[in-house]
Amino acid sequence: MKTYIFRNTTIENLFVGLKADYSGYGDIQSPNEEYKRIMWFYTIPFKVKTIDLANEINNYIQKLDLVLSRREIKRPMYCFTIQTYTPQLKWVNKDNSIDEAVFNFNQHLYYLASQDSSIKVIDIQDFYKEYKISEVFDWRFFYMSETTITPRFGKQFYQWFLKQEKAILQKRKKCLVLDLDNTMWGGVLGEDGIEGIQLGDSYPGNVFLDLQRSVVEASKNGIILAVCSKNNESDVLEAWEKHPFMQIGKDNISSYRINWTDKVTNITEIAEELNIGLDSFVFIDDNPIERERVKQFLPDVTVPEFPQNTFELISFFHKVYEDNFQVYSLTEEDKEKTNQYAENSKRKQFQQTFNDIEGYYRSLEMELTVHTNNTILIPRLSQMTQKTNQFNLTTRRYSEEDITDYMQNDFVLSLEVKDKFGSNGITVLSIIKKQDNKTAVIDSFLLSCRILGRDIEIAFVSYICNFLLEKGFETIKATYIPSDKNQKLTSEFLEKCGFDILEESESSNKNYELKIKEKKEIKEYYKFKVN
Amino acid sequence: MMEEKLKKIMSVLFEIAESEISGQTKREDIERWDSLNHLNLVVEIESEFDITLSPEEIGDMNSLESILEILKK
Repeated sequence: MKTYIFRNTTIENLFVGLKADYSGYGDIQSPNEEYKRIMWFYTIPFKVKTIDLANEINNYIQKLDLVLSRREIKRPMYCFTIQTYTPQLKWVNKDNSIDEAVFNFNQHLYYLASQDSSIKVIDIQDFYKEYKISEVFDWRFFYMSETTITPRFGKQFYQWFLKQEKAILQKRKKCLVLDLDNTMWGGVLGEDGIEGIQLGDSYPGNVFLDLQRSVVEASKNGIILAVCSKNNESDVLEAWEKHPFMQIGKDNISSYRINWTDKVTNITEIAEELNIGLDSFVFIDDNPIERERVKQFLPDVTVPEFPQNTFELISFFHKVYEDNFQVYSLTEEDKEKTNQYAENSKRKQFQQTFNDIEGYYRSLEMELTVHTNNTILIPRLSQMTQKTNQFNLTTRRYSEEDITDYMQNDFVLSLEVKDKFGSNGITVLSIIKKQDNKTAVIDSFLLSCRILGRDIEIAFVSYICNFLLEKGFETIKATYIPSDKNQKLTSEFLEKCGFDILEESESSNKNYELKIKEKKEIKEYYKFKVN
Repeated sequence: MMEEKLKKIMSVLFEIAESEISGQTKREDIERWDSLNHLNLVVEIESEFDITLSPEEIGDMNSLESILEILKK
């Protein structure tokens, strides 16, 4: 199963192990059908001016709505909430516009999920709560690689994500089988008697008491409780009934085997009695020999390790619960939020600035500044040829000297992309060679992932055509050279721009040609400027 | 010792045999040494050797040799 993830920052390091492809930063074009699942995972970047950031966050809502409105098939869509887990310069803006924007976005998610069951919300707060901002956000990686969650947390994050996924996919276990002596209480009932077992107010009895309470809470969440203990049945039934601190008993235990038969047989019987598959069982026992036997003979049963120290029992059980029994559902609190949201949005309609993809492009207020043979940019342009892999027609790598040479005789065009959220810098490059007075050859054409998804590349090809037409050229030739990484984005790109295929060579390079006769029309929202 | 550990990290990340990595092996020679894996490499090296690399050092890490030089500082 392949997943497509809409994102606005670098998050690949958080999903190592997941078969996934990623959108360009902020790109909202619809993924094709090969993806069986879609995720929306935006994180809040750092911005000096909080008001700019708040505007950007408000924009996420519209983008997400647009993505959802363009869904042709209802694939499962997981949406992550956002949190202000990025440092903020509180003294720049003293209002709470960011908190408000975050709140609105998250409410919107819960609202969407309540309307459409194919949309699931994953609450990022649940991951963040274990850490401090200073641990999660690393200035170095943010400025170098645009990550807002340090890549050092990659493994922890992915483990956490798998748990959320499991909960959503309902792969949770159904039944918890409990041992009793030294598991549900301290001591051995058959030897210590009802008065002698440890369960009550003081250590270690207070731990066992809380453990029993936790187990009862779990059963209230729909987990079936069973007991499998080597004891005399009558002793245990008496203890369940008479011990003043006992929380578990016949009321909340659905099935029990209290006898001297081996536990493998007993658990198999319990499974038959409850009519639940063994793969839905979790078995808790303090005795390593019992655990080992069950693991060996009933490999479908989940058998967690038991903690060394009694005081660790609650955190142990918490982990067992999270790993095996967590269930995805909108909580009451979430539903409450949803109601508030519905009321809110009645009162205050969101300022809707676009409702289709063209409207979105227009709302971006793009400004595209063309640089032609600008020598100041040589280091950046060389670096782009070295680093760009995905949207790169020919993947030709050039040194600064190479670029300098091209600038002397040919055309090195680059594009600086600005929009209402700021400048993305020089992010598009094309090197065009003069074959003769009438024929030009596109030697290189590449753009950075961060500006993907706005069809800027198509507009730029049109711009290049017009540019060459003005200079008296009649024919443009171009080549596509497949690499390991560029196929997805560029293998059909020139066809899209109206080029004709001349030949497809055996190495599956493609040669193209385009006759230019008249000026190509460029949509007005691509505002080209010449530097 | 340091070199062995480093080779091991690189071989796992870049999915190539340790024997294929020599001091002269350069970033452009290794298909999977892209910007994302470079980040992973930084994370792995930092945790293995318990250090924090500066952005300049991260930028200079272009071969096994250059990484070793940085580590020896």
